[in-house]
Amino acid sequence: MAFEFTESENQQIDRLLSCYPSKMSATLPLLHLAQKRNGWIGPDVIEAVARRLELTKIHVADVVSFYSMYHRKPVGRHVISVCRTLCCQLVGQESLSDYLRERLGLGEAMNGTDEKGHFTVEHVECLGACGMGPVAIIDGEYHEHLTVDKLAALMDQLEAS
Amino acid sequence: MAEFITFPSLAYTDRAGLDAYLELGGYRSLRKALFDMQPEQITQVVKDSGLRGRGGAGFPTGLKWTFLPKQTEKPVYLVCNADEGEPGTFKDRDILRYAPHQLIEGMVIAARAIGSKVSYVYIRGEFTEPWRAMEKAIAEAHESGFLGKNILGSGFDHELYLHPGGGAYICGEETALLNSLEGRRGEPRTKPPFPAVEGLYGCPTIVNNVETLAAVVPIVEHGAQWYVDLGTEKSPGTKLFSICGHVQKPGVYEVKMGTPFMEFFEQDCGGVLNGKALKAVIPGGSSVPMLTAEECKTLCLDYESCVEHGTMLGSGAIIVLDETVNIPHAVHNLSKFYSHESCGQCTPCREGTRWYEVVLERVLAGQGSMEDLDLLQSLGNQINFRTICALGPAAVAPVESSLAKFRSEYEALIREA
Repeated sequence: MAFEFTESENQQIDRLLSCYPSKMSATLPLLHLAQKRNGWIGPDVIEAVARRLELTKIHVADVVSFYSMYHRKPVGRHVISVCRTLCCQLVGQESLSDYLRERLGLGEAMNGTDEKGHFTVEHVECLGACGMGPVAIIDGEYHEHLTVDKLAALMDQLEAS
Repeated sequence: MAEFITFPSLAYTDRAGLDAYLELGGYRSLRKALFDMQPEQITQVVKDSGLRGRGGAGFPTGLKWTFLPKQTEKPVYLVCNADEGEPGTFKDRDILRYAPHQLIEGMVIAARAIGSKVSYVYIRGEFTEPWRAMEKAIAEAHESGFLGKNILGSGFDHELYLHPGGGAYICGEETALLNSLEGRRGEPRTKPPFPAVEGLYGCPTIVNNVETLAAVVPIVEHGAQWYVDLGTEKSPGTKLFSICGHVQKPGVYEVKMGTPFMEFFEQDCGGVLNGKALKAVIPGGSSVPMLTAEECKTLCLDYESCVEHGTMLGSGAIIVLDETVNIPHAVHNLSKFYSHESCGQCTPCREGTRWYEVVLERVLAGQGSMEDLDLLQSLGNQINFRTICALGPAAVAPVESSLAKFRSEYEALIREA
């Protein structure tokens, strides 16, 4: 089924559009809105956003490709974004990454989705919470001072839910 | 000792609401700015305070405001840069979460000074918790007449909107931010024209960092001289410092400009984590040259002392590296960051940051040669002064400073291979 904005999303979009003198300004907010429900940004989402904002599809696709928060491939049920930048690395990020690779069977790959489609892990750049490292975003929320044990417990909980 | 003087709300993590802010004296400055001061007087007090851009560039804030055209038919925009992403920096996140009303108050005061009816806070997309805190504070401010039409009966109107980023460090560069806010790729624009003349939607625009705008509140309340007296002659006032890495008590601290680094580091931050020895410090975010432990002994936390030590105060982000850190390994981590975050517009930056990453990878893998170190050394000359924005030169700083100060660690990796 091709992606379409729902009625309540369309109301949100109307409110968003009232904040800007130009429809194009709502490109990033609309992509976030779409990804929240759809999980990722495929060609159908790009088309829906372009149509709603009266933009060309190539403009929206170009924008999507620039920003790292937009997933251009389907993701698992839960997304874990691990900060790999220096400040988190200094305080133990690599042990989290090793654990994730092993638990999800990713081999040497840093990023990917497990076979069951439960988790997608990605390594991202500085998340701006450097004093609370290691940090990861799980399904949109920050988790600070992470340890392998804490991460394992969080994942067990998500898997069971 | 460090204490929260100009950001009193940051002493708490649970008092972001309007009532708590009013108890701390909140929105008194706004009344003063609306009823007792003309716009030019607001700009003058900010100029006199010596407040400099706290996002990293350190440009005088009041002066920036005067770059707006005196007469214009176009709307004037105020944009708050909350795209905090310089590795080591995490102070703006706390202002957004714990002192959102101080930011709103600072923005309305600034808006009155520059004659702006609409402002945007560009918040990095990952910051969901700060976003919610700001959303709540904006609603509260609206309800109580601090935002919207005819603010506090003064006749001054101002609307403030939040805008999310999409995960791109480069959008912290002010013209990239404006492109992103317009719904485009976040690529920096060539300057001139500067945003004050031609910014958002081609209109006169002032872009200021979160901390900068929030600092306007105490300056308007207590006056320029009070603020100046908090710091040194050339670096007036206080600054938020975020300290992380191998430090006993990482966090956000408000420090009087001119405070000796070691005093702050030992007394407030508890020194190096687990009693290890200090090897190096990056004092102003990952984009500034690193200092050795020896150099840190004479460093003071102000703009001039940092420059005297061959580095920069930047965003006030201090990254502490202890004796166990392999410097080339740490620098490689940062090179990966810059190579990923280069927007790709300028060839010297796009290719140069990639070369840093590749060559350092080779050296770390034990496949490097002494010529590789010369190559790393020479790349900076091909990046600096050849790019539209400061990202390229930022990538040069960790490599060049570490080669100058810790060359033996690179050589050891090559010799042992």
